[in-house]
Amino acid sequence: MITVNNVTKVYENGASGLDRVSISIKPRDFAFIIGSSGSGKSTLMKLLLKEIEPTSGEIIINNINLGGLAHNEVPYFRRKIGVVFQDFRLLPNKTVYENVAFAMQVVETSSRDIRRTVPAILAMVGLQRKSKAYPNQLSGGEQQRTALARAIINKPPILLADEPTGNLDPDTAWEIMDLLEDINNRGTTVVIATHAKDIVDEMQKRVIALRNGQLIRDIEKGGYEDEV
Amino acid sequence: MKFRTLSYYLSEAFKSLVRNRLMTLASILTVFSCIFILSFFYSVAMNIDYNLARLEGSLSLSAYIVDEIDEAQVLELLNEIDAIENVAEIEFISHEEAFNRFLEMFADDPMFRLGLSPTDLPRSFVITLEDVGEYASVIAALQQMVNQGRGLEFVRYHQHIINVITTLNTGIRIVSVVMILILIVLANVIIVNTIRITINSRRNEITIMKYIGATDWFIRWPFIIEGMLIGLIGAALPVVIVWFGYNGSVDAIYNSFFMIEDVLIFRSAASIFVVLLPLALSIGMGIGVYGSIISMRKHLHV
Ligand SMILES: Nc1ncnc2c1ncn2[C@@H]1O[C@H](COP(=O)(O)OP(=O)(O)OP(=O)(O)O)[C@@H](O)[C@H]1O
Ligand SMILES: [Mg+2]
Repeated sequence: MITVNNVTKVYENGASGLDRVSISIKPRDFAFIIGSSGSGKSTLMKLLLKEIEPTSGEIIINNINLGGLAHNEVPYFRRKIGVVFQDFRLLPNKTVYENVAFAMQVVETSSRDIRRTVPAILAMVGLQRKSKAYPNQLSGGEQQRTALARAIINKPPILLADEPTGNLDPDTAWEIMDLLEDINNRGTTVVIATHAKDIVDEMQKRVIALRNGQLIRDIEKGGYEDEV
Repeated sequence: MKFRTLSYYLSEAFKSLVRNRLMTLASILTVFSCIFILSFFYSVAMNIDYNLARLEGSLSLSAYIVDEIDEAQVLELLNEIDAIENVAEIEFISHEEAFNRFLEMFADDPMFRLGLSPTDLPRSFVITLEDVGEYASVIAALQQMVNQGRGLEFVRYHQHIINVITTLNTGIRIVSVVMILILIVLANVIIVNTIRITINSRRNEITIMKYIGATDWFIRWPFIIEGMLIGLIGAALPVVIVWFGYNGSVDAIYNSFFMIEDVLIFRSAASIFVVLLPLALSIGMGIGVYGSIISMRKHLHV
């Protein structure tokens, strides 16, 4: 459960990121955050990850009030949230397998569990034959699948994706969206910030629209430009 | 900490040591110089202290008696000196006694005593002090008797040697401490930069680790271990070198100077290195860890 309660974010330089936004996302929801460039989508994502702090308002995720979270509790909170980005952010000197295993290493999983879990996840995202490849030997779609595998390997209840298809051609973008829907069907809450109008229109999911940092639309099932 | 995690930290630390080999080498070299100087001067100082203490403990004054003085006057002088404050014991050395001691000292070299008779050696008093530190007042009293022509010829005391050695010893210590401090600062600067390079080459990795939920300490440990390894390697090498150098030099000195054992006794390497080894390793490790902590504070914002 994600609750954003009247949140405003003003950056240090005075730029407004979000303006009194309230959203509630239930477990197992699949939600698109849409809006033109600069509307505040990434700002919202960063707030949900506690990468930045709201200027006012509160954010509660899985019954944890982020404002009350001590610095040393943040890592444990982050382990409950998977995240992927437009630019994949893979480690170039590690193979696909190592990039995914790295996420388990960081949370101190035993090598036995790592050896058992990584191949299964790679199979799930369709990369079982690429496990020894390095990121620069992969297509964009394959890189994003690797990033997705890394994001979900520790079984977070929530997955955040900031423009996950922004660097991909339409066909590949659809593959990634199908994968995200698949992940959602297995029980993970999925929140996607995106510009991909056709995908949003086609999938008819929850749509949360922002403009200039304000919430302008929030509909249960809809397309990119639907009115409320 | 899980073993797997520890081996992860170690392998990460080793990887960056190898990746930055030039900086690693520079860091190790500064720690090396610092600990080398420490080890060298520590070994020297320990021996100086030891021999100084031996010298001071065995110190006595010798006051020589002019030949014109007869037995009765000698007894008079003896009583008078015995009454001087801080004199613990006084022993009279007759011509015969002095001659015997001389013979004993040069037992191996009969050449020395050719044509020598007991009267050629002056009689003397050997005076032991209650407190060696208070020697000056006793010397002054005796010197006064010499000046008054009371039959004492001159007074001999080794204190000036001790003074010279002590001054030298203090000088050596000050110089070595200053050099060590300068080198520690230098080592710190270089290690901070070495770790900074590692931190920068890992920026992406650290960002990703934070998204994944790595704790601050999970991110920090490889850098701390990297510093620790630099310090340990930099400290262990010079200690080993000085150990071998020490044993070699002691043997060489004992073998090349005749009867040196009477003047100078070297401490065993074990008695010096039992303190020096842990001291050097802790200092080396301290320098390394402190360097990485400073670097992380400046460059790693977790
Ligand atoms: N670190 C920052 N410092 C100052 N202003 C910022 C910062 N990050 C974002 N902003 C500002 O906040 C507003 C919202 O930016 P945000 O990145 O959330 O938009 P977005 O919806 O993700 O845009 P895009 O679709 O281009 O990614 C913009 O006006 C932007 O200039
Ligand atoms: Mg954005």
